[in-house]
Amino acid sequence: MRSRSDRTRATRAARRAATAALALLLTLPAVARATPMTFHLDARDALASVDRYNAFLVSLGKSAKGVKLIPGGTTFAGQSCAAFGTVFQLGSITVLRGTTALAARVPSKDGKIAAALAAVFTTAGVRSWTPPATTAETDIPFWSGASTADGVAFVAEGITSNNDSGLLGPDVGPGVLRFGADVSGQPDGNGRYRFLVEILGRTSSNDGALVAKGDRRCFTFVDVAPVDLGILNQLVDANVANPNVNGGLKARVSNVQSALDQRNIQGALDTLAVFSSSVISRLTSLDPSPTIANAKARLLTEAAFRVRRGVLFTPTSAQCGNSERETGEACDGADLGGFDCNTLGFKGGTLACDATCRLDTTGCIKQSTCGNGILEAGEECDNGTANSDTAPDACRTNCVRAFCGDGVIDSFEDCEGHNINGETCVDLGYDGGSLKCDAEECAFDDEHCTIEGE
Amino acid sequence: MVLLLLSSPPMALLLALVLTLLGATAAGADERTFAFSPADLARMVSEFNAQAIAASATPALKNKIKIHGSDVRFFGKACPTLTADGGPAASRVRVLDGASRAAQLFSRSPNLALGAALQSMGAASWTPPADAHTMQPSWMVDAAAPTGMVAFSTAGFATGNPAGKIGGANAADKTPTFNLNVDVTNGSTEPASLVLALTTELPPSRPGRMPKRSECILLGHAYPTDVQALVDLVAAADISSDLRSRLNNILGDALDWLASGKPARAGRSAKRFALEVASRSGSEIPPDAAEEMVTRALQVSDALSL
Repeated sequence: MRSRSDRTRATRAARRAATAALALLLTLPAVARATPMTFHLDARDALASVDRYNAFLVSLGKSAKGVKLIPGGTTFAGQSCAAFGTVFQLGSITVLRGTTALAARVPSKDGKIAAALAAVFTTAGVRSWTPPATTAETDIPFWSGASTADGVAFVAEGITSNNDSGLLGPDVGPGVLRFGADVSGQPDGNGRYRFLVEILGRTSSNDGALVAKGDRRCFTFVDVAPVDLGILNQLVDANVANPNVNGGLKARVSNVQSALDQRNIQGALDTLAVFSSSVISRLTSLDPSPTIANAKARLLTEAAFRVRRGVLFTPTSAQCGNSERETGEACDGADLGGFDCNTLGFKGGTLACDATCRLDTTGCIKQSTCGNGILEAGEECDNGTANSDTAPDACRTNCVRAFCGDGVIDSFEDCEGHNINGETCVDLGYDGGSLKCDAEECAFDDEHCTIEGE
Repeated sequence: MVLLLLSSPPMALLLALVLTLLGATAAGADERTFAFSPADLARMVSEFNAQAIAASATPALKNKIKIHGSDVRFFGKACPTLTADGGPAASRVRVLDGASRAAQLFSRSPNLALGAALQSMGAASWTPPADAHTMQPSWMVDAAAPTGMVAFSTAGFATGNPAGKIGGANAADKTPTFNLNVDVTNGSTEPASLVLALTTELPPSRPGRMPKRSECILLGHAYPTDVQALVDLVAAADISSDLRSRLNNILGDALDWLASGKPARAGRSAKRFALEVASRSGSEIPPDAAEEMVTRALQVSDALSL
């Protein structure tokens, strides 16, 4: 029998091993990206990036020759990065396609200024990217987005109309700048990609009329994560080795996609919640080290919340009621996005669009043919003859997905009801006691397991 | 004239600091837990340097913040980045009980201006005693640290043994290995700005010599990672009273387990809380609130396993 100090030593050794392995195991997609991704940059992050850039710039020392401190920031290569949001209100944010865009933006006779800036941002690890065929959109009032020759530009109305309209001060709230980018390579350890951005600030008056004391421009970098559903599959593949759990989670992602394909936004959001809870309920299967398992769970659940934000995004340019289906709208007026009751799995009837530009199926006629292998309205799943009330993970014969409490130990469950799958406290590393099943979580309840000496 | 002087912001700050130094106690302190990793430490240094540069716009700090080479000097001391390979590495972290302690740290007479500056930048204060432990390999808690500070240091700090220093590659490690329980005045869901004195060192020029050390002051922003943090998030969330009650019951279980000396069980309750929130996110709990609760619950679970 091991002593308690042995256990402590073993625990510490395991923790040290886990510590060393954490950076290696908490991996992100290993394959190079080939498909375009959608990113959401928060305006607050763009504003905060100025301070981060300044600290980074100073830390470069001799590698960034000529950096000078100015009140609240730095000046380098002719760019003053300070007082954004306060003296200079935020008026424009452009995500640039890479350091090559700098030459045109900061022209000089010998190109040395652009080269000095490019060297800094290359050291910072900014990514080059190519634009996919998507437009830049934002939900910040009085701002608009557009693709430009060297990136995607988001501009406040006040910049073009020479007034205060849309300029953002220090109390800037949440605001999404959404853009598509085709980026290659792996993201950082938090699932983010680093982009070069140019921000423009402008002084303004209190009465709305522009006082043209001048603009201030600063190049910084921001770290942004994709909001596409596909990132979840990649993260699952990179972080979940257990084939059952991996398959289960990817099945959830597939269900989200199915719901989105049917413009069933609520269904997609509900299934994303199921994805997150599935991750947490299977923590012990993510990794033997609780710390690594927790870190993986955070990575996966945070990504799921980001995808949720991506699903719910509606740009200010979208106007529900203008009969034109735009981003964030499942329909608008008579434009139902090519759907009708039949394509949504109903028997017939009339599909409509509600006042919030969501599909309204109340006029559709339901058909209840669970077991016909076709996913229809009101069904969570339908695999036809493969529907089963005894097979793990199967779609049940009432066309609901396998769930905790259905009497079958699914791959997402340790146990079910009183069935603890033949496991004992000793199997879980305890010295004895009585292993139970948590009926709500279908997870082992080791409360009554014992450790000798305790 | 005196009143006029005292009513000016710098003088008011100085007065507040002097009162603190004279023994005024913090009101409304609650015991809170903070857990941080080597990566958090590296982040705190970068964030503080960024904060210091931004603060240089404040007239009172204009001449107290300078850049020199790759350093941001704050009252003459620089906290170097910890992520550079072969660069300075951390061998000791002292968590001070407030801005006034920092003011007393480097000189015989208190550097009131430094204390006032930290106070104006949001420094949190706490009241002794404090409880701390670490699972960071080759690090220990210095039991002989003076009152008013908690000192984490490498086991070989006194002899100059470099084993375990945090710098370069290991500064990216996200495992929370430093744990601190203090009665802090910050009781909200916001991060606390802990006053840290960080000792960094470069390898000795010749074998057998002591490493070249320097110590700097910084504010490290850290969220409390305790059950109370989850209670606060639940209280602040826009949710139904039924759900609030259900979530509080789970957290009540966690507190009961803690009270009976079983933190691992409390950690399980924190996971159960995360599961409950995740499954109801969006439908019953606003997504932003749900995301914060889930993330923090997993961090709390981590901290409880320390």
